[in-house]
Amino acid sequence: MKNGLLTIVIGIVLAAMMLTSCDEKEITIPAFVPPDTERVVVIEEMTGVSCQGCPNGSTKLQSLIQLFEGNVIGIGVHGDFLCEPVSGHSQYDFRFDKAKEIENSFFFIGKPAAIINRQKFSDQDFIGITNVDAWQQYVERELEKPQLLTLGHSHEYDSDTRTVEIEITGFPEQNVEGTFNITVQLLENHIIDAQKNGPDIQDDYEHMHVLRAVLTESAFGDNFDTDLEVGEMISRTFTYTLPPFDGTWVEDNIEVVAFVSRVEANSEEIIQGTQFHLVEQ
Amino acid sequence: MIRFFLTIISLLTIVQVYSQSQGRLSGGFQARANVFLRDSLIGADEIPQYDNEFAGAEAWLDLAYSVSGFTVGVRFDLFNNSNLLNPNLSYTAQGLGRYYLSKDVGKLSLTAGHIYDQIGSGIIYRAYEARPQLIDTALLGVRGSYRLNENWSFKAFTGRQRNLFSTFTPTVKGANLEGFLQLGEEKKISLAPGIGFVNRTLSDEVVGNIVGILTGYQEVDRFALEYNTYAATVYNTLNVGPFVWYTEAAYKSDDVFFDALATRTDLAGSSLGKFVRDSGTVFYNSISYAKNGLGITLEGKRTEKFNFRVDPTLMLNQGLINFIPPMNRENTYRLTTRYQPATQDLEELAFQADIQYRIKKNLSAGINISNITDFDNNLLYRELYTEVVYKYERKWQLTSGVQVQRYNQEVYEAKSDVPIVETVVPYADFLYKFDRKKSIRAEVQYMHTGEKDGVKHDFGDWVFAQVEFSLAPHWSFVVADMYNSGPGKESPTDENGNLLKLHYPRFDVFYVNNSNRYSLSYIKQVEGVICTGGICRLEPAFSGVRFEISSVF
Repeated sequence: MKNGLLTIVIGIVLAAMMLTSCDEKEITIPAFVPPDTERVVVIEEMTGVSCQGCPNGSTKLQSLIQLFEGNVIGIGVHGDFLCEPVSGHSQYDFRFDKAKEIENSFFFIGKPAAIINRQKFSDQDFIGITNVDAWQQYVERELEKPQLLTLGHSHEYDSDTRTVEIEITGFPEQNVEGTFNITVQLLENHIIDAQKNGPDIQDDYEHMHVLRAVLTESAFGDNFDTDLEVGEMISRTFTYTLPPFDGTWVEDNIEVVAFVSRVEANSEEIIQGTQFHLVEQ
Repeated sequence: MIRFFLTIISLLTIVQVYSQSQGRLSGGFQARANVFLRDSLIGADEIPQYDNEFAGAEAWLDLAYSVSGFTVGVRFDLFNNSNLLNPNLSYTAQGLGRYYLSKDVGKLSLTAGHIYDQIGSGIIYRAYEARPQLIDTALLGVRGSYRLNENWSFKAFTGRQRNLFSTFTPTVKGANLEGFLQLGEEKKISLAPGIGFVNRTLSDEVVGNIVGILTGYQEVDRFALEYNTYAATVYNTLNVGPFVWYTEAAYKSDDVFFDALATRTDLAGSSLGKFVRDSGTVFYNSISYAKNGLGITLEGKRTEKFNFRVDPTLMLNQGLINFIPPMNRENTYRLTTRYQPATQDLEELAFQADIQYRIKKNLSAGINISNITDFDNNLLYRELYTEVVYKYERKWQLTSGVQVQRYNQEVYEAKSDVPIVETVVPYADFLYKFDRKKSIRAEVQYMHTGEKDGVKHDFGDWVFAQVEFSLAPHWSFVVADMYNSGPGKESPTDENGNLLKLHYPRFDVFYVNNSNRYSLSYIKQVEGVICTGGICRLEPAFSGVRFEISSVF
C-alpha cells in the first residue's frame, strides 16, 4: 500500500512538473496595422464631469481617435447621469436637453460607456460598452464592414455674426434599402474646467469633443434619404448661430460632426460619419 | 443530450428489473416567482421587469435515481424574465441545467456529466452552485476517484466549466490526493494532508480575444501569453486534543488577469486598469481550540494575484475556477449583513479571531474581530461583533450585542467619491414561547453611520424591526420594516433635492407541510450587497411580491 501511495504522490508531482516545465510556445502580440478603409466610425462616449472613472474613458477615446486617424469620430456626451457640475468647482454646465435625450435613449450600466456606431453587439449585454479595453475591438469590427456611403461637406462661417452654413452631401457606394437619417452636431475641444478624477477633483481638466449642440431638429437626426442608390447625390443644408462667448463657444475649438444612420424598428446603426473644424486650423 | 439521458434512464430501469434490486429516487424542487412593482423613488425601476415584463420566475427541479451502484441525476432549470443572472437585465431560458451518471466499481468511482467538487478549501479549484447569485461552476466532464485504502483516496478530473446551458471553451483538468493519518499510542493526534494540481488551457477563441485587447495596448503594456496556467496546493488539518490547525499554501503560475489599479499607457495619456500577466499565491491558516465551553478560532490569509478564471476576460462572478474563503463573520441579521466584504483575489491581508464562551448553562457570550487590508495597509474591512445569549428555562431567549464596522465601499462596490463607511449596530433578538406550538420572536436593530462634511455615509442611519409569530408546525407570519431614519448621501431625494426618510416594509407568510415549504412575501428592499461565502454582488433595490416553493423528496 505504501508503495502505491508513493507512486500516486510521485505521479502527481511528476505530472505537474512535466506539464509546468513544458516549453510552451509563447504567443506574441502582432503590431497594430491601420485599416485600409474610408469608413468612419462614430463613438459616442457617455461621460460626465461628476464621473470619477470618466477620464479613463476620455483618454481611451482620444487614443482611438489618434490610432485610427481619420477613421474614428469621438463625441463626449454629457447628458444626464453624473453630469451635474461639480459643486464649488465647475464654471460650466455641459448638459442640454438633446444631449440628455441621446444619453437616456441608450442602455448602459455605468460610465464611461461607449456607444459605437449605435450598434448593440451580440456578445455585449448592453449597447453601451463599459469595458474600456474592449472599445478598440468593436471599432475594428465596424471598420471591417463594407462602406455604404461617402460623405462630403462644405461650410461657410461668418465670424462677425458667428453663423455657419453647412452642406453635407452623400454619395452612396452601394444600393441599400431603408430609411436614413442625418445628424449634425457641434463639439468643442480644449474647455478647461473641473472634472472628478478618481478620488480627486481636477480644476484644470481639458475637456475634449464635448457635445455642445445638435443642429438637426431631432436629437436622432432628420430624414436624409430613402433607399440609397449608387450614382445619386443627396444633399442637406444646416444653419446655426453660435451662442455668445462665455469662456466656452470658442470658434477655433469647434468641430462639426455629421453622420448618417439607418433607421429600423429597434436600431439606428450609424453607417458613415464625417468631421471638420469650424475654422480652418 | 436529453435523448442520451432518456436512454440511460431506460437502461437503468432494465438493470433494476433484471437485478431485482430496489432503486431509489430522490430530488428537490425550488421555485421563485416575482411580481415587479415599479417604485422609482427607491430605485426599483429602469429594468425590463419593471418597465415591460412585470413578472419573472426561476425554478430548479433536481432528480437523482440510484440502483445497483449506478446513480443518474438530472436538473431542469428555468429562468423566465429573471433578474438573477444580471440584476439589470432580463434573462429567459430553460433546459437541462445538470446531468450526470456515476458508477462505483469496487474502489473506483466514475462520474460523467456535470460535476461539483473541490480541492482542499477550494483555493485552486472549486466547482459549486450558489443560486442567490446564479453561480454554477460545475465541470462538464469526467472524474475518476480511487480509494487506495480506508485512509487515502485519489481523484482526477477534466472537462469544461458550465456557462448557463452551454460551456466555456477553455478546458480544466486536475488531480488530488487526500489522506487521513492517526499518530500516537492512543491515536490522539491526527493528520489530514492533501495535495492538488489544476491546469487550465485557454481556447483559440479566448486567446484571440486577449490578443485583440493587447493589440490595442502600447508596446510598454503588451506581454506575450501562453495557453496554459497551472495551480498547485498543499494542505493539512492537524488535530491534537482540543486544537485543530488547518493550513494551506497555493501557487498559480503566470496567468492573465485584469488589474483595475495598474496604470496603462495610451497614445493620449495614461489611465487606470489593464490586463497583466503574473503568478499568484495564497497562504491560509486557521487554528482553533475548543474545551470546557470555550471556543477560540484564529485565522489568517494572504492573497496575491490569485484571480483564476476559465477565461481571463470574464468579470465579476463569471467563470471562477477557484474559491478563496472569506475572512469575516457570516452574520444573519438584516442590518448586520448590510455591508459585507467580498474576497479580494488580487491583494488581501486578512485576519479573524472568534471567541465563544459558555459562562453558564443558560448564558453564553461571543466576540468576533476581523481585519482586512491591502498590502499597503489600506483598510478594506474591519468588524467587531459581540453576542450574548441568555435562555430562561424553555420560556424565552434573548440574544443581544453590538457590531462595529469599517467598510471600504470604493473597493467593494466600485463606487467612487465615497468614504470608508463607518457603522455601529446594536441589536436585540427576543424569542418568547407561549406553549409548545405558539411562539413570537421580535428583532430590533439600529444602524448608526458616520458622517463626512455633515452628510451621513451611504444611505445613513437605519432602524429595523421585525416581529415573527409562529404556529408550529405549519405557519409563521412575519412583519418587518427597515426605516431610513437618518438618510445619507445615497438616500433618495424629493424634487427639491431634500433627503427622504423612507420605509422599506416587508410582509411574509410561510407555510410548511411535511418537506414542502411555501412563502408569499410583499417586499420593498433597499439596494445592497448579497454574499455567498465571500462571493458578493451589488443588488439593486427590489419592490414587489414574491412567491417561493421548496420541496425535498
